[in-house]
Amino acid sequence: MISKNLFFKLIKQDLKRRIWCPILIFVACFLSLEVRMLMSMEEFVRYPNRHSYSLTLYIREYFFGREALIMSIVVCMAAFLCGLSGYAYLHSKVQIDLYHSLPVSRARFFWARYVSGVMQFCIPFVLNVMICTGIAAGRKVVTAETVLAIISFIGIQMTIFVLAYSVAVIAAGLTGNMIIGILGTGVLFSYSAVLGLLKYLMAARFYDTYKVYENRGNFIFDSSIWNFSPLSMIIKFFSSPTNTTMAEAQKFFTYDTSYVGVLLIAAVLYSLAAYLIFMKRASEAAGKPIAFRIAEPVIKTMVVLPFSFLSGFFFCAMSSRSDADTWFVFGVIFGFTVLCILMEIIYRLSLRGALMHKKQFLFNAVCTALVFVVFRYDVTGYDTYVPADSQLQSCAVSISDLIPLGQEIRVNEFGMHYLSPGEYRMANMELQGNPSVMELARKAAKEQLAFRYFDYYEGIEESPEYMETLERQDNYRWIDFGYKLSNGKTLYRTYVIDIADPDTLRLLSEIFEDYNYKLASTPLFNDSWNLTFDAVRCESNFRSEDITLTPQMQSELIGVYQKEYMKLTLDTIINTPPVGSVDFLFRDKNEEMLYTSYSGKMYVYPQFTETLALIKEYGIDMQERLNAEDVAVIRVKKQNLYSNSYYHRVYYGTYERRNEMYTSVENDAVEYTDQEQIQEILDNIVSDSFIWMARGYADYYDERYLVTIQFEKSDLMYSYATHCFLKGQLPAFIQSEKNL
Amino acid sequence: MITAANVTKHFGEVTAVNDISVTIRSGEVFGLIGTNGAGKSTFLRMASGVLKPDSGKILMDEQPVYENPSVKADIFYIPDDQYFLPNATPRDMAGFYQDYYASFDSVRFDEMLGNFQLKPDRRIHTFSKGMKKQLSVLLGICANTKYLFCDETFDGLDPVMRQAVKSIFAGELSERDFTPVIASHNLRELEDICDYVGILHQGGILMQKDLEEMKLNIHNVQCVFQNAEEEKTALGLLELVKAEKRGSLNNITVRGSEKEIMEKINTFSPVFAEIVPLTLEEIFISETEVVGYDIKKLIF
Repeated sequence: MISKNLFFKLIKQDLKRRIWCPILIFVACFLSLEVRMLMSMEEFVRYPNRHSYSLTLYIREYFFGREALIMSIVVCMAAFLCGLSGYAYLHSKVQIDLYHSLPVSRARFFWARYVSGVMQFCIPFVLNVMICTGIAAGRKVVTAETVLAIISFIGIQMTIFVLAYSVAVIAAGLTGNMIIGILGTGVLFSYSAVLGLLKYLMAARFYDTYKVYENRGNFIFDSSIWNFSPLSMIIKFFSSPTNTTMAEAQKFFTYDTSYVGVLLIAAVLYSLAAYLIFMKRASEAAGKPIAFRIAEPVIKTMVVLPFSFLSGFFFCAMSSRSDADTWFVFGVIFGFTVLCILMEIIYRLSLRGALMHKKQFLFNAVCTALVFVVFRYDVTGYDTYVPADSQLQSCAVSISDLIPLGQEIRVNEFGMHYLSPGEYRMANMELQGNPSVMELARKAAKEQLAFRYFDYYEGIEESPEYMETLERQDNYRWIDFGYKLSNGKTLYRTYVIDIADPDTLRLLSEIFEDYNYKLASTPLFNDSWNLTFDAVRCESNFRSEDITLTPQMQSELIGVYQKEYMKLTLDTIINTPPVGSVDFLFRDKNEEMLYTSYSGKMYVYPQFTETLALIKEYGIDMQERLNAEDVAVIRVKKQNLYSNSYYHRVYYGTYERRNEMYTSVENDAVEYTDQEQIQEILDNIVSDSFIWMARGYADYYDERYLVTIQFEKSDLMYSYATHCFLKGQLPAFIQSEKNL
Repeated sequence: MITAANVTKHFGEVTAVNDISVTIRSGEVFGLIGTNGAGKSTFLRMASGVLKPDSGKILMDEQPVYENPSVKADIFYIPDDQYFLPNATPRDMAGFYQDYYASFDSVRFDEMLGNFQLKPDRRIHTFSKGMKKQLSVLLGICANTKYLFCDETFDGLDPVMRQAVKSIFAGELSERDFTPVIASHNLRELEDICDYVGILHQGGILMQKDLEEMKLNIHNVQCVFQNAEEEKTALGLLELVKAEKRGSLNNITVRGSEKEIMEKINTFSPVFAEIVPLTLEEIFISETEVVGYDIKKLIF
């Protein structure tokens, strides 16, 4: 009679036979847990000021929290090792003959092996975590919360292990050969992520209006694709969600707990799938490339199609003409042919089989061509689609480069969560009842303007077509729309608009002047964010100073600024140079980095009289001009158009004219020490620190000359600040200067 | 008793076993003969529960084999290319099988290892092919299962070892309920051990017969008659399977009992008449030729 303890005997037997597996895993865990922890601790001890958080916090929130993704890579590798080695016998006829002739049911045999594989990871992993906990406890950085974090860490890593392990077991069960089993594991593990990547690449290449805002643009887990592959799930799980409220953003890194359930369910389903495949798998499949012949054509199509297109992108990336279709099409055809032949060779395990299954070859070719045509010729009307008013609940708009927000908005004290202005607006803006919004969207979708790219060659400037295109594109700007539909979905589109078109400019102005647009365009006016700052950096043409304000003073400043900002018109932005900017700052705990901006510079225009008065009351006069007697010398240099500016013209055509790169001419700067000349220069220059972000819609800076002021007193702020002239205000003596 | 009824197995487009029906009685040694690719191994793999028949059924003591651990506990399968655990020693393998076969006799195993001069703690991968075959047989015998399926097990054994294994089989047969099924493509290896033989060809079974019965009913006779006329009359009375003549010596294969045949021949007062024992090979050559096969092409 067979022993009742056979199940445990089988586990013991397998553990004994594959003892190298837990040993290897132990070493990997040791390196990625204990060694890494000790290295981090050493850094904390040696350089305590480098971190804005304590070691206790680091251990709890980073080591067993945010950085768990690093461990997950090790976990997945271990899972593949356990899964493939545990079920490798399925690929060997002689081993099948042994194991399947034994008096034990396949179900019992499967689960014994399965549990054994899990234990081979679990035992060394938990042991290493316990040693880590001991090390941390020795440093007295383990709290009750740390223990909870460690338990979560173990639970999550085990779930990820089971998920990846089941995939490897499924791959071993579906194939009859180890090499193909390894390839199959890779494909199953990452297939939906590859589809997400492919969808992103295809849409970005062929759709002019394609824009990703969700998931911080992480195409690996595109929400429109069924993220069945563990890779997508794991990345999604560890990705910080886009925190669109201050409450969310103030949290330290947390797992997406709502997704833990998905991971658990997926782990269970994958395990069951592995079991069913094992039970259905015929013993004679050992040695064959694929265990289920019925799946052969499906697998071929599923592999050949996406990877052919990826081959197209590969050739595009290799080519200097990445925008041209030629290399893309070549890459697709090449990749398709090679993959089809390769798949047949893999299936037949012989070169002779390379050209078998012509019908399938033809079918795959038609499918590939169809997908290409759908994307290339926008058969689905992606670029022209604008939802009907009846479908629309609200709309979010982000006009690029109009308000000089920073590229990233810092949203919590740990400096880990950032939002781009576009992300913030898409998440916070809900414009309703402004017909100009959808009118501009429809106009842009109908016009389908796009930047045209040229292959540059010497003398291209003589081509009228090139110059005309650049001239026209000089007025092109980007605008993003987020259509929030009644069915709960949100669609994003990015359009190119022509601001030389009066109708477009009118609509744009009506959107900008919409109270709700302005309110939701920056987190500064978002009451729910309830931010307090450590300092406000006030920057004017000749001065930059950080001032510390009480919370009441901060509220007062923001209130006054907001009131005047709400009255700001697009016309003012286009025609009036700002007199200064205010920048709200956090003080970093790290002494080396004094402040970090949270919102970017907010411009102060001459019309913001109350703001200017308030700042003056706080000690900064933004409209203060300099007197010649404070200045020792002024140096003026002429700048030349950078010889390679075509690059910027071609690839950043938006600012074709104004974004030209200037470099100093070979000649020396001309120095002015004459008090009258200095005063005339001082009366007509502005700080060049406002130029960069104002370029988008403003055209009042004359960037041909670079002005450097050297003050009499070296302790004055901005003793070597650079400035430029406003257009039409270049002093005559500079214009006629022969040495410039 | 093992009963296979209309068993068929395909491997893709290849039919490995085609509608085989065979009965293997308990306590008998069953020889399964056929060329390479005839379906012997496939049949044994199905009989041991490794493979599932596409159609038909294989019953062991009226119980299906596939996915039936209680039935499989009575079967030990020695494949043509036996797998031993990596770096395992004979003792390790005995331990391995002990977990599955409750009645595995490890004391006897150690004893037999000594008899066969196999070291219990030597790595199996250092063994010769013949030594591995011996070890497989010993493991199979010591598992104490009712059925032992041997696929080409006697290949690679030297004549002394082959004889030793045969005597072990004989001992097992006399001491307990033991039914070995031995597949081979070599008739000579099976003739002195098998009670019952089945011939497989191209997936189908050509025939299955009791070897003794076959031997009693067919004989080879060498005889010389007085004259051609008597010779012709005498041969006409016999149920000839095959007849050859060299000079005046007739070498004939005749169906019937020895007594019956000799009585008929002696009626004609032959100059010389003698019954010569038939090998299993010769019996099958004769039998299969009758049913239209050239057995020499099938087996040798």
